[in-house]
Amino acid sequence: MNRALWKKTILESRWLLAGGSVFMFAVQWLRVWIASFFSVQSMEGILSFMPVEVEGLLPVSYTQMATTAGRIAIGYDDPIVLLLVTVWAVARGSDTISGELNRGTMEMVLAQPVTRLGVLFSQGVWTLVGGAILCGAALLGTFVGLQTITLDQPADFRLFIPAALNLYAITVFLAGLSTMVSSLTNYRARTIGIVGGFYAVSMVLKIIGRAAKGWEELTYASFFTPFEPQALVGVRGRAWTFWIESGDSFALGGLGYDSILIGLGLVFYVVAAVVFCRRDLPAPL
Amino acid sequence: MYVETHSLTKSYGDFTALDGFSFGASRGEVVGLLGPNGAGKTTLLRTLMGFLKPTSGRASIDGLDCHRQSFEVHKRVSYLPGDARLFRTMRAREVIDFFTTVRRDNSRARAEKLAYDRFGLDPLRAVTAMSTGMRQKLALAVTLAVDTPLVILDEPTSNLDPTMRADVAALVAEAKSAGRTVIFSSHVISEVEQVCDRAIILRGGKLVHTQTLSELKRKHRIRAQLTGPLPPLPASFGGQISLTQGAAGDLLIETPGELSGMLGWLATLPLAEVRIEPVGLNALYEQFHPFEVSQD
Repeated sequence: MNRALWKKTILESRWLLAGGSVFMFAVQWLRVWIASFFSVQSMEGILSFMPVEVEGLLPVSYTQMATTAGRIAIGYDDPIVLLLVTVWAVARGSDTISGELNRGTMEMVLAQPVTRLGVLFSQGVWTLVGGAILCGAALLGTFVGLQTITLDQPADFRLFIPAALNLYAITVFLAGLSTMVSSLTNYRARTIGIVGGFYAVSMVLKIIGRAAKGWEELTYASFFTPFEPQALVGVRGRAWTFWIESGDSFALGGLGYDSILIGLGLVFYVVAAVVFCRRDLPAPL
Repeated sequence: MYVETHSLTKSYGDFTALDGFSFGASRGEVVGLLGPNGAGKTTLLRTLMGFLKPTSGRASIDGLDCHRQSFEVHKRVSYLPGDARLFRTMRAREVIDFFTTVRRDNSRARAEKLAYDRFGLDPLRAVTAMSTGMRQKLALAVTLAVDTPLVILDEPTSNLDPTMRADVAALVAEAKSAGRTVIFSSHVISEVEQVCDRAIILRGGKLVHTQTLSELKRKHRIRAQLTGPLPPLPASFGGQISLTQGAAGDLLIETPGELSGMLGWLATLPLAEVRIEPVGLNALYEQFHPFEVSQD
């Protein structure tokens, strides 16, 4: 791989990654701090007054919410956290092809003895490494929080690894999706618009599927369904399995969720590579 | 031939940008592409670079297929796009650093010498703070610093002032003297006339004329006003000259080569006035694009 391509890719996105990582660390540290405000007993007391119907709308069950680990885990499903990984994945994925085409710099890059696959590879690997750094920063925030804040019920930092992994899985999915759309278009704004539309529809499908009785099947059409990082924390036997069978019921485990998201993300990358290597390169726009 | 195309065609739906284009350029030759916007110059160059997949036909550089073996082709080519865009997050020195790292045959010392000494660019100036001309100079510096057998320049002087245009012409001449093949497109006929060995005129995606410049320089046009009847042409001219006589005694003679034999005959004519001028590429271009002649 060409060193100049790596350097250029990293330099272009270093501030976004640095800022995102600091923010991710801070959010998770704050989650631990907020969790320290309530003891397990007071939390159980509060939850005992809550109606059963509300439980379905919460990110975790009442049982999990009563534990310190359960309350910290909500941080991995926090809208800000999801926004951060989405911004990273979509910004990098959309920039990979349509961004360079849009700015007109792709022609100068590809006039050099570099392959299209090489350009895609350097961008793609850096996007995935950056995603891992972001999720690692989240995990580090939790770890530092657990080490520096006194909690009524201490939690083991390793409980949160499946949540960080699930967060990383959705980052890979979104980066792959954005890169694939990027390979099909010439305008970065169009890429962001298409991915944004898909994102919004998926979110609506999951909300309706979760909230409306009789519409549960809609959740299967949403890529947010295998994204439940908070639900993978502290639930024995679920985090590190692909699926769970209990009698007639079947449910995916944490590794099953991650496999679906990462698998789809990688398939999108392969499609992007095929499209990009075969397509005509438009003149600078 | 170092660069060759055979019946090269590129279509976009119903629109044919390049239509059965066949040409060749040998090592050390400077070939100029002339034609108005939409004639197919850029499409030809971008197909040679492998950016576009030909609809039919074939293009090769050093025997390598331009589309299927573009990686190997790019090792042999230094290319300046028509609209050279540089990375907006970088400064001039970072741009040079990128292009001299991305390929091993690019000399940093030569790029810096061209950019800073010859073109007068500031290494610390950000690309975003550069004028179009400055960006073009920087792109030219990183393109011409590469030591490749082939240089392709798509309208390299389009954003440059006359002094810089002359500098570019000198750089092309330097590349030629170093034995490099140069293909460049331009709207400026005088530029092509000045630096090229051969000019290719395109119209509607087709090659309509190829002209060796050394041959063209021997061609002359004689405009005369006669006061009496025109005597018959000497047989020694062998029918090689073209002669047009107007009703009011106007005479237009076009000769393909040596003038000396003709001057003696001209002296015997009943002339009121006579003007001898080289035919020039401008006049030739005018034959194919009568309303689109560039006067630059």
